[in-house]
Amino acid sequence: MTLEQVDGDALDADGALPGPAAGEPLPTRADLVSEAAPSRAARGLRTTVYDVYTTVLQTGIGGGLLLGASGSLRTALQAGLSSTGDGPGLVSRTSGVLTSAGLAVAAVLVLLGALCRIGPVSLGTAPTAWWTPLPVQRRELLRPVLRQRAVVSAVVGAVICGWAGSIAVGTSPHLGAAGFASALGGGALLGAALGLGGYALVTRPAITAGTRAVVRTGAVLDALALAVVVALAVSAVVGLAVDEVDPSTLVVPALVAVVLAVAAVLTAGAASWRDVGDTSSVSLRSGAARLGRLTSSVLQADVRELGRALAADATGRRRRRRGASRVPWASGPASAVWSADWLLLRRQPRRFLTAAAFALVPLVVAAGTGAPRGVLALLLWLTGYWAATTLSEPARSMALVPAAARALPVSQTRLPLLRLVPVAALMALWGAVAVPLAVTTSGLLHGEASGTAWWAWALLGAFAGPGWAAAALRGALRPDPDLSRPAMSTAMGSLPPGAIAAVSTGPDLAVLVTVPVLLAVLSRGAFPLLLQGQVLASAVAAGLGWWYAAHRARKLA
Amino acid sequence: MSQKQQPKQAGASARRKPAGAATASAPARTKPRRKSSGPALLELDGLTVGYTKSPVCAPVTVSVAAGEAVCLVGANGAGKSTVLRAVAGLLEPLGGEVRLRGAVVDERTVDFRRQVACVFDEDAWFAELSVAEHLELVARGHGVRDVVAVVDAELTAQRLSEHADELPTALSSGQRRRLLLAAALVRPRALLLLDEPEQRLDPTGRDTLLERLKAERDAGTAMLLATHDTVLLRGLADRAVVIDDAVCRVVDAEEAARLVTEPGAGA
Repeated sequence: MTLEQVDGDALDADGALPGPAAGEPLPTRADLVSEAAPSRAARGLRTTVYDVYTTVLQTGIGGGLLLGASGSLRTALQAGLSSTGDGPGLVSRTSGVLTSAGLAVAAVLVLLGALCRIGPVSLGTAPTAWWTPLPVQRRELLRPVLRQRAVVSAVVGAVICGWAGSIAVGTSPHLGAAGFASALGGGALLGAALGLGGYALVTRPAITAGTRAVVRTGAVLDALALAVVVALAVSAVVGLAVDEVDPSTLVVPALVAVVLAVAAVLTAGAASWRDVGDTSSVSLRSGAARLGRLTSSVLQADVRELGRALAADATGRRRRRRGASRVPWASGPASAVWSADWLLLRRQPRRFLTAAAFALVPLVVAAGTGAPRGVLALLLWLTGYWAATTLSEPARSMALVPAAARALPVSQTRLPLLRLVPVAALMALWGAVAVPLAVTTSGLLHGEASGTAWWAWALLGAFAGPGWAAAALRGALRPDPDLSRPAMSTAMGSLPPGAIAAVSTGPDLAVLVTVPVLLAVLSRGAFPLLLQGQVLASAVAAGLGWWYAAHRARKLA
Repeated sequence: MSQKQQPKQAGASARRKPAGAATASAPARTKPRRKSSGPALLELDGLTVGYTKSPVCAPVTVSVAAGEAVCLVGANGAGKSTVLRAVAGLLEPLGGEVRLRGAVVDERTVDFRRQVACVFDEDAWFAELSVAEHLELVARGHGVRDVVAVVDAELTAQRLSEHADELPTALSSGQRRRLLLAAALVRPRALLLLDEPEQRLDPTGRDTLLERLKAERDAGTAMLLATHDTVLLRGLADRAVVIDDAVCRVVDAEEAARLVTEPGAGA
């Protein structure tokens, strides 16, 4: 029997409290929702039809893109795996089946971790503020949330794992249509079970232990996802994995995983369903605040705020030793900026782990799928930019709080440059590790000759790193979409003016930086000319990134 | 909610009753003052609060009876709001206990939520609901009879009648503050928790607030409020708790007001 059942029964119907007389039946959740939500009738048939059209179209386009990408990848994989590599430095590659399964599981774990950080059981900010203090049964308010999020978790898991399963069949060209269908269906079933079972498990700490416990659970899930990626990378580098794993060999482990997930649903899920009314306001409010930030960042297409919403500390408070300075080695404006930036990064160690994981992704994908060299360069472009973005949080926060930047005796022109320096140094290190790792399994790393030795690739990466950092600086200070003007109708739905620019400002500069990397990969060596080209490209990128950031910083100030 | 359609259909015309009709329900709450000598409704027994493992202030011990108002005073950051949040169940205490009618409080219980109304500095609103509809939501959620009349009376009392059909986001910060106060007063309550209710109110608003809270107290509502306002302290408080790092003392309202105006006076 839950808390609410006890007290619901104990309520005296008379309710002789000071204030307005009560006695009417309390509203149900449906009553509250119907009162708070805009009715379809009020919005009009035209709006409803447009909404349905947009949803169907977006789902169709998304599904088509996934299937198309799946088909292209299958073809590429079959070609890639049939080759034996380009040079003597080829390392045994991980099985594509294992890679697909591992990356899919890691993706599901990351999404469940993100769900933990926004609260597995939470309402929006307004319902939390206005509904949860009402003396209505809280379990009736929260059970629909459990149901909806369980369904969403299952669907997302099914899409991710089903897609990965359909790609995995590319490693076994002899599988027919039935094999493809079974890989797709089996993957979807496994993903649905993982999503559902995982969601059932993460709801328990949210209901019984509170915010800190659920944030810790999210950290554990993140660590598990990272461990999966690291295991795949290690298997690729040291050649632990077999070259070929038949998809059918995954049937037994998949069935075991499904059984475990069903057990989790029947135990933890059933308990959560029973006890969801015991979720505390502390947990609900924390989740609501994060969900509010998340929703706002998605609506504004602002991935900067999205990252902050997902990475925000559970309590927002820090313990400090009495008398201890937080920035002990700051002795002037420049070192104060660097100290503060370092402090900010040090307080979010997951940013370093995320950047490290990004360094392994090209290696894992190339090892497992024999990806073409063009795809390898594409992966380095994406992961290089994302890693720099992850480490550029101080610059990104500059756009959020321009007043803080104005408080320093540093010009708005010099400040972005100061912010660029430490990230550029970190990214030089990142590139020096990630690029040689990425080319390892493509047979591009061999010998001691100039251009093909590991140090040549490391130099190429080290030179590219500051360029990616500059691109991230440009992205950090990009303008937000203009939500004050009417949205533009597109085939993908309504978009606010400036949405495309908000998404592309930053990655565009990263393309310039990645061009020498692409040429090096295509020409099978980081030759001196390309190294010089990389230095030039990164210098140009740094100049452009700094100029743009200084211009935007002056405008914001 | 059997009558949920009623206010929407009634619309603004039903809300805009003559001022006399709107205020007619107010005297029902203004009974002769009960002397606050009854059993404690709320007891804070060595309550220790903080956001990490370190307490923000010394343990608080005080009790509040029905029809009694106790103020929390102290410097900015002393921990007044933190104590209030712990009493409201929005923060896990580090130590000690909070009891309501003798039972340790748990905001997850329906009975606690029925008895305790809070006015904290919150700014979350339903995008589609007007000022009056927010109040109706609260009143209906507590099973209040004659919701429209109760809401109209409170809108009038808070000088929000002209804004009844506006969205809360269109109001000024002071008006939004009055809306939050109204939301706590359109429902039955045994205990009112208020965090600096005078904040952002104009002088008229502060006067109205004092009169409303005095009427509430006299009608038997227990009150625990954090405030810096000496007028509220002198006009409303039966006692006050001085929140401090070293020790939290219970003093009379006059001494508390003196401490607010001369922070070093009680040292």
